[in-house]
Amino acid sequence: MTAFFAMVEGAPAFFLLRRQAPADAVEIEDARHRELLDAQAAGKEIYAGEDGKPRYRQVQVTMADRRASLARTIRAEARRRILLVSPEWRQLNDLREPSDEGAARFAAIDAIRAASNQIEASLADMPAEELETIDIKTLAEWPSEND
Amino acid sequence: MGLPLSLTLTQAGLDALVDAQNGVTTAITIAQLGLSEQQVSVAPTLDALPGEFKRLDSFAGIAASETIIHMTAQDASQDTYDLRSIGLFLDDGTLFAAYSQADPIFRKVDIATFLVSFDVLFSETITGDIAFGDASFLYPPATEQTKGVAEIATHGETDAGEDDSRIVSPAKLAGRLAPILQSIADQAAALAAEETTRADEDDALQALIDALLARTITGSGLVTGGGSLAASRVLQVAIASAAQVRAGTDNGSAITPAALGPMTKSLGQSGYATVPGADPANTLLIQWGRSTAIANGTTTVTFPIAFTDAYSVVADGTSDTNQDAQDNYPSVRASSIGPTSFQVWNANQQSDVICYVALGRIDLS
Repeated sequence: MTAFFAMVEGAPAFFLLRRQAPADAVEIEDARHRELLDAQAAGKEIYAGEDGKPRYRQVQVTMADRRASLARTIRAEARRRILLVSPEWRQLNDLREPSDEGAARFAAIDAIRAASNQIEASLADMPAEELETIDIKTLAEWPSEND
Repeated sequence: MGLPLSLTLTQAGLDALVDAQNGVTTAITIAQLGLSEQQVSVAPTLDALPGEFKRLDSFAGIAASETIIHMTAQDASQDTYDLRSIGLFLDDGTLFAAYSQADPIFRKVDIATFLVSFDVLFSETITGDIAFGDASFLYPPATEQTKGVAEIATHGETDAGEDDSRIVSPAKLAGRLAPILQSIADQAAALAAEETTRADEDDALQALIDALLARTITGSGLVTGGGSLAASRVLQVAIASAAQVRAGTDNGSAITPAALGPMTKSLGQSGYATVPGADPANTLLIQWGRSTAIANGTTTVTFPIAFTDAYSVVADGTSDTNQDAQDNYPSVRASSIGPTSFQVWNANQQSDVICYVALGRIDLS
């Protein structure tokens, strides 16, 4: 069964019947329709070509969006590592009853925060290729989790 | 008639005869007999027959002896006339001889045939020097209109059945008809036997027809009408209206596709199906599919086909296998649900594949 494709307010749309679709909609065969839906499931972006026919491509992410996303990832990773060193309840206890062990845990937390800040700062000058492939969780700048 | 007619040879006729006798020419041919109702003064100088009104081509002759020729002419037409003068004409139109008298030689009426014969006596042998036109006239072939001479057909000619000039004798006819009559007799016997056989078969067929006529066909359930097979019957099935289908209370009618509404589907990892409800303009549409929600962001998911009105979307799923993950997985932004798409917000640090199910209405009227 064929369907009809058109861009509606900048977003792709499919229609079952011609009369339901915008005037500039193009007819597509069932196999192509299914291919486009599979591409969407795989994270591809559907758009209209110059001829109005549907195409798909990798989702276009700006470098600014990529850096913002990586920054959120860095902070989340730092939070995970800090809680792993000392959950919030222990940090409160270490503040009420300071100890050498507590001081060591705060030092580890500070090291994690320092690493997080360093890594986030490095994003500003990081080449695009590296921004695409960087794995935040395994960076060497993080203090060892066994310390 | 037997009356002596003294023919007078014309000079031109005599000259032609002499030339033939001397070998100057071949034998002269007396071809026609001229007729006149006038009395003519016949003389050797005569070169035409005054008052001639007709010439007979049915003229023949034969040498009765070396000095006598026998000539015969006939007129089988329906003409009527009083014949007083006659003239013999050669094939080149020369008047050979003539005769005339005051009283009619012959009075012809329309129902009579004029037949005249001449026996002409010459003083010396001339028969080889005179020929005649229609030589077969003396013994004319028998036809359907004329009595005459005919040959009896042989067995082969009789059997061939193609000759129309020979006569079949009773013996030949009997021989020819015998196998035909025998064949007819044989066929008549076969027909009689077949008639007997068919009569028996007709009786058997009538018995079957009687048995069928005793049967009845009567509708039951949703089918009404019927009766015995003695007459043509019509069975009816009541058709439910769309309103009856929606009401769902009638138990005596059948649902047709037209009343139920269209059923449309596309089955796959992403797909859709309509649920007909006897109201095409308000057909329930179920859609499902998968999409990839980007990390830490909003993703727009396009439905396989557009709803007329999208009612609800449920989405769930993640690709995250991190046991320490603490971020929220993708969830539907309810306010974003529209006819063609919806959005999911993903707080996870990585992209997640989601599965969704959406319900809504589509106008298929």
